[in-house]
Amino acid sequence: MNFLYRRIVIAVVGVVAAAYVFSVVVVTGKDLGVSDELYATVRDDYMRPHLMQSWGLFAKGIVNSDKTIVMRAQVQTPEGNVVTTGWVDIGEYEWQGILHNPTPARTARTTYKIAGDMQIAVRKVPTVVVPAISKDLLSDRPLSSGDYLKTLLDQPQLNSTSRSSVAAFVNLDNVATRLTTLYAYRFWNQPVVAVQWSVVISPVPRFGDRDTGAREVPTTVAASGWRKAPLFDAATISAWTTS
Amino acid sequence: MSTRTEDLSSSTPPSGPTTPPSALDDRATAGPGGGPLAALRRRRQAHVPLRHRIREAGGILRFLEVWVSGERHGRYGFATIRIGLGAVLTGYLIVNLADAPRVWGPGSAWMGNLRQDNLYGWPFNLAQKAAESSIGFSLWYLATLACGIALILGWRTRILIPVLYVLFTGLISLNPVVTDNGDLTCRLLLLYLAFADASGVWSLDARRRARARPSSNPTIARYLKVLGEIGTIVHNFVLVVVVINLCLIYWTAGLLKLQEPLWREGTAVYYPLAIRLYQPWPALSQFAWGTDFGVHLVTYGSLTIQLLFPILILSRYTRWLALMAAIGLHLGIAVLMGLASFSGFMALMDAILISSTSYLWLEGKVLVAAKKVRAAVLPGGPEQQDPEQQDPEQQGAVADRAGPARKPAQDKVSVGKDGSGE
Repeated sequence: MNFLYRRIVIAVVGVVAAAYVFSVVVVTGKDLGVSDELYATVRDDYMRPHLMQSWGLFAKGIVNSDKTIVMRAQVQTPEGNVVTTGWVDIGEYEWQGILHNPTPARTARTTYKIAGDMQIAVRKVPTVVVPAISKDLLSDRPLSSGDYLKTLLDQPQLNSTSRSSVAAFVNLDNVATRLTTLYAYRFWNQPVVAVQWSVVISPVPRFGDRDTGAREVPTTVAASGWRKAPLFDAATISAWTTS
Repeated sequence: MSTRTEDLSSSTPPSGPTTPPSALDDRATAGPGGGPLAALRRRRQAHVPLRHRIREAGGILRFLEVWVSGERHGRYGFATIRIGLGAVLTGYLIVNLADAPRVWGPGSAWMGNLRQDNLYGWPFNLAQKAAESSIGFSLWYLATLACGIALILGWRTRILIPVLYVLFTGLISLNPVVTDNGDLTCRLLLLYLAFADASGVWSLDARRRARARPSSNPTIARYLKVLGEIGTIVHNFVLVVVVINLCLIYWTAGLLKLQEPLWREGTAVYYPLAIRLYQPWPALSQFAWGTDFGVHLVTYGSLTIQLLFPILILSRYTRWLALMAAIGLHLGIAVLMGLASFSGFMALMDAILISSTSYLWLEGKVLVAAKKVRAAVLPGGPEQQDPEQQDPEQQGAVADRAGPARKPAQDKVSVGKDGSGE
């Protein structure tokens, strides 16, 4: 290649590489002094979704609690009766898939993550909304928990921040209901009529108490009422009952 | 401005004395007198300090220009990443095979809005269509698996890597809940490999290229040569970017940890290990946090290595310390916390910091060991002679017989002091 052209290529590629490195510095330095405005611009305009990076794992807000969802269901027996099952700790069930397994499957910590997200979401929602979570939603018409909670968004005392918090919680509420419904199919392999779930957070013993195992009392951060089971197609149910 | 033309491949700067073969170009080491190990030995003997090489090149800018455009650096590191990435990815997909319909396939319909929030456009969102049916999802999954295997082999990587990127990114976008930083690292490495020479060595592509006859059409030959030179420049910049990115990962992770009281107290490592779902081996976890000293040592040790990582890699001696510590850290996370794929992907990025010299040394050892095994399995053959008895030149010749893909002459193997992984 011609001497001049080579230098031009080097300059162009160098500038692109430098711009990329600068962008990486900005998005990874969000909590290290980079301004929110610059971070948001670089993240939204240049990095998301393919080049986005974040390396705060095990650093910010280090995980220090067992988080789980406990659930029960109303299932239909072959005779047509609806029976209520006992409570099941899904976290415990998932742990059985991890125990003595060097390469656990990706499903293994699903509930842990949903419960963690739920813990954060509940903290942000206004207290006026929280009682609604525990109401039973068993109407025959297709009224989901999300629909119910969305009606709360119209309440005048909610400002825009509160509304977005409620919307985020509604999303997770739907996810929890759908996930527990599929777990109900997996556990009892019967048509599921309704589910009820609770998100339970149990801090691990403090470092100084690790020998005695003394733990704080577990906290239920969200407990739903009965939720009518959402409908799933046969392929979805089959994936949960056969795999 | 003058527009003089020169051939950088000759590695002889226009000004200054002739550069020793060990410093800027190892093409000269591929002479008929020895294999790669012998070449390495000569190179070590002829090691030229960085400051001398800069002076010989005619200044730092000229040195950087030659470094960027002269030859492709770190090809063994990229080849290791490619092979490792393919292996971890393939293992990851096989491990999740039974659960895949629930994780990403038709059974993942429970995610509802969470999935719709993903930002990937076409062609990544084709995965969502595929995941609606068992057959479509199975095809997508198996195609990803097949591409992972092809990546290990280094087959048609120029096309393969972008295709694998689409398949893998499409797959993990189906379930944002279970995705982790290992997936992110895998995607990033695939992106980097797409612009680097990932199959220059240890690949089917390299073997195919070595067997290919050069084009007889001069226009095409010149066109290919220019493309190759641009590819070299891009490859070397990607190498620099990967190393910087790696340093940023460790450094920012270290700084963020420094802001947390539990890390400053020296007890942070205990808490994730005490969580039930990160305890595949409870007895081992309890042993790991059994003593105050052990917990403090690992906590402060992790913090120190992460904060000092960018500095430690500048010297070839401390670089090994940093690499061993980082790999030990990832190994600990993999075993103690059951995060094998995450640790595997993360540790792979470190592979770029290992010099080609070390890779070639390792390759020589592997080939000698393989020869021993062959001799044991096939007694009476010409290879019965104890490889340890051979002189290094012959061992190099053994390495050369691994195939035409082994072309040490086109890879830099000796520098090690430029802070860029070589």
